[in-house]
Amino acid sequence: MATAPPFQPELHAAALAPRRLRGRGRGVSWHLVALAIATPALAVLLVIAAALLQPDAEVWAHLSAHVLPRASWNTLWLVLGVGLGVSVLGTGLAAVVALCEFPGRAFFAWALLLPLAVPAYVLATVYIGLFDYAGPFQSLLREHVPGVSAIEVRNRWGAMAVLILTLYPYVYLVVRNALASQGARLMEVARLMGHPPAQAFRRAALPLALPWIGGGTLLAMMETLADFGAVAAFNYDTLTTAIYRTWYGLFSVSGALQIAAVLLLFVLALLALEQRARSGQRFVSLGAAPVLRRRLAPRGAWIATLTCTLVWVLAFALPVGQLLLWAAREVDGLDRRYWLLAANSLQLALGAALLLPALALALSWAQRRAPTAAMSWLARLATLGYAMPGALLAVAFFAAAGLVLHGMPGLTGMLRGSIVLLLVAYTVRFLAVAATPVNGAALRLKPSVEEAARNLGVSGLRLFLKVHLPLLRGGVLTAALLVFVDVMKEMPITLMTRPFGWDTLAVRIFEFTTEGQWQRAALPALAIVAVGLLPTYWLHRGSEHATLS
Amino acid sequence: MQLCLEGVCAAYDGAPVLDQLSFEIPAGAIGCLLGASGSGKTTALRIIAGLEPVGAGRVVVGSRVLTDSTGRVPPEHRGIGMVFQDFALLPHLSVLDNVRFGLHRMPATSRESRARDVLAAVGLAALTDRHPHQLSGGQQQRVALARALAPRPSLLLLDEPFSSLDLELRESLGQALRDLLLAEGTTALLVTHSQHEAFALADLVGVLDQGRLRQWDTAYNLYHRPADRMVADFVGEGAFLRGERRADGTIVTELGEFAASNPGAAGPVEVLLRPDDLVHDDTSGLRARVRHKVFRGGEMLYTLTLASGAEVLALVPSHHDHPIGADVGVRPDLAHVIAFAAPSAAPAFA
Repeated sequence: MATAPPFQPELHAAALAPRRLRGRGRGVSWHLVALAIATPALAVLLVIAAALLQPDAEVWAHLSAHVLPRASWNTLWLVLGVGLGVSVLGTGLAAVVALCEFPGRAFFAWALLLPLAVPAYVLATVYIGLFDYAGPFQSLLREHVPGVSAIEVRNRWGAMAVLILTLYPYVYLVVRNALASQGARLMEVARLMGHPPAQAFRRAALPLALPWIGGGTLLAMMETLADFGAVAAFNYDTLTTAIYRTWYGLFSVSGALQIAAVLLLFVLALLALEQRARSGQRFVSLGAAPVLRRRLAPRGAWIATLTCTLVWVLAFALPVGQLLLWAAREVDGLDRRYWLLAANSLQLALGAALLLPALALALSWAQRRAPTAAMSWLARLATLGYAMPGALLAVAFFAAAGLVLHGMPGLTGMLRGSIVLLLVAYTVRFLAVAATPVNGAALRLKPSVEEAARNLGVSGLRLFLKVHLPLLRGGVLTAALLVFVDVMKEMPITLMTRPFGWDTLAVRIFEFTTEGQWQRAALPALAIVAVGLLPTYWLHRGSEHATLS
Repeated sequence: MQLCLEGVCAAYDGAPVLDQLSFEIPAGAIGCLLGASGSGKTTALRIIAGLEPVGAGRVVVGSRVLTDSTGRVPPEHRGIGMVFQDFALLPHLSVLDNVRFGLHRMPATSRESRARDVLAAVGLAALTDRHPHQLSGGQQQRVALARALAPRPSLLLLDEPFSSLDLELRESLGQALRDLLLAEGTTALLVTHSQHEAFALADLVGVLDQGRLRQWDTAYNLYHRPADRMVADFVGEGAFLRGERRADGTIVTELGEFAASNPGAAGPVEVLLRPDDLVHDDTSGLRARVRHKVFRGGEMLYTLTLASGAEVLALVPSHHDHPIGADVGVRPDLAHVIAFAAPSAAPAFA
């Protein structure tokens, strides 16, 4: 589950290219670097395309009769439902926080981002623990209300609710920033031109925010498509759980690949829509004149405060409080086994946090040194994985590694026993997360700065230490932090491609949840939530600079 | 319609931004608030537009009280147009739709023709189908102007209308704007930090300093009859020459004796000398040494040192070209003798 809505790098290659004449030779080696970085993503696409073009007829017959229709239908339902939910909830909260003044507004402005720290599978664990038949809620209900029989919460609506509560910040964050920086201003204009507030919102602010609402919603829909842990916890069969069952239940890699191919079609559809939404996101440069938020009348202010409180409690305070309660009863769970899990998670997260920013930097530099059309396609390919569900990547890598290493059983065994495969899969999934801040920093390093330094006689190592390093450091560190957190939270890839016995915190949470031991999942879950709070803070700070409040 | 501000006060988080602001613009005239950034001029504009409340005082347009300390008419019911500094065009609408945006109270049949008329008046008839991001800065500015003028506002407000445009564009657009406002008969108030803009556009100009209006007057009077030293400093070029004011109003300086144009107490004073108050005259017995000179095409601006060491400015036809260090003859030619009590002897004004 990606923490930051990962924006694909929009490097303006031409703007970055030093206006210097250069031979063709150097460009080729940079293209090779980019190709190497994009290779894993390319391999995934090729393996899945092959499965799509040459389906194993027998497996396909079984899947298309018994698995695919139900899983596809469920997936479609879930994605559309979550999309509708997050767009309404995210936009509503963003509009109220950005444009209105009410008690608690300053608190909710950042507190409503906190649910980003709680992965959907953790929220699912808490909610099932609380509201399942054996949970405290239904027990109380049975005790006090006669005639109440079992209420089933493990269904479509439960999964949908949990995903909406986890993913609405994707919409909330971008729409809030768009409205606070530009929308509020245009509403003033609309009011000066004679439109009352409600009409001003509808005619000026909302159309402006639409591309952001669309972009945030589509990112949330991609995450929904990618979700494995929450839907598995709610016993709701989607394409990702179908991949897992076919692979680990029926032991059919080719079947899992065919499901992955269907899933890929969903992904590509969402990607195409997202590109369209993004092209509509225009920034008008507006001055820094203060914009006043509309003070709500007491009734409206109460409704606003209550709504924000309710969402914040349901999506953050309640689950974290419940985890703390459970953890307090499980302190003896802090044993050697727990620390081993934590060490495994840390090792993977640190490894990825070192590797991915370096790759992102190399890719960014390649784009800068050789700004060709081929290069920008390679960069897009390399960072496409943010849209790819972990379950899809896992099975594709497993199959690709099997193809490449066919006939080399020794090497195959070694690779399966190491975490290399995991790191490569993380690279595909999270390179875009690392590329966004790195490219942002690289954009600040304008060619003219480099040229000015050279003009002053600074070059070579001194140039790197005095110019490149200080300017790129912030972006690279941010990339490392974001990747670290995302890998800590990552579950399906780790679950499906980890070396035997290599459990992580996230994997244990999943196992405890499937075994119905909610309370025991609390300690690892709290560790992951705590780590997840880091980038939430960073996101809020970053967006504070963008808004005026 | 006539605009009248009466004792308007405003504060942000307890810090006063406007202090007893009062002025009046007659119907059809163009007024201007001139001030440095932070002087409160944009706040004044936003108060008049109804976007911000006042602490005390009133805003009256025509005979209608729009804002007082008990409340305000919402911006959408004021009939006031505003051109924002950043233009604030609606990015999702075409040029024509931006201009039509405020015409919803007009009969549907005449909306489009009014929008097209105003766009033609600002010279954008050919660009009606473009979107704001396809326009240059000057074109965006004209769309913003057309949009504000289209609903025939009783008052037009302009916030630094030319600050994001280059110098040449400013001059041509400034003239066009003045003609357009006069043709439409619109009362207007602009705020700017540029005195050139203020002088070029406005009939009445006020100098705003830290929330206080120093003087509200014609450009001519601001320049030649500044009310206080701050205004004299802020508007135009010039130098202050030390002197002594006698009880009968005569002022004695090293350039001679003058009759003071403004009242004041006897004692040490400083006399405002504009560059055009000092005339170059080779026959004059008064000599000054050239310290510095700037060629301005038709004229030369000399910085001269008098016998006492005091520095003064003189604007001289540029064919009088003297080298630095040369002694030249000068003669004072003051139409208005404005003297302020010397800072050391008088309580300093804010």
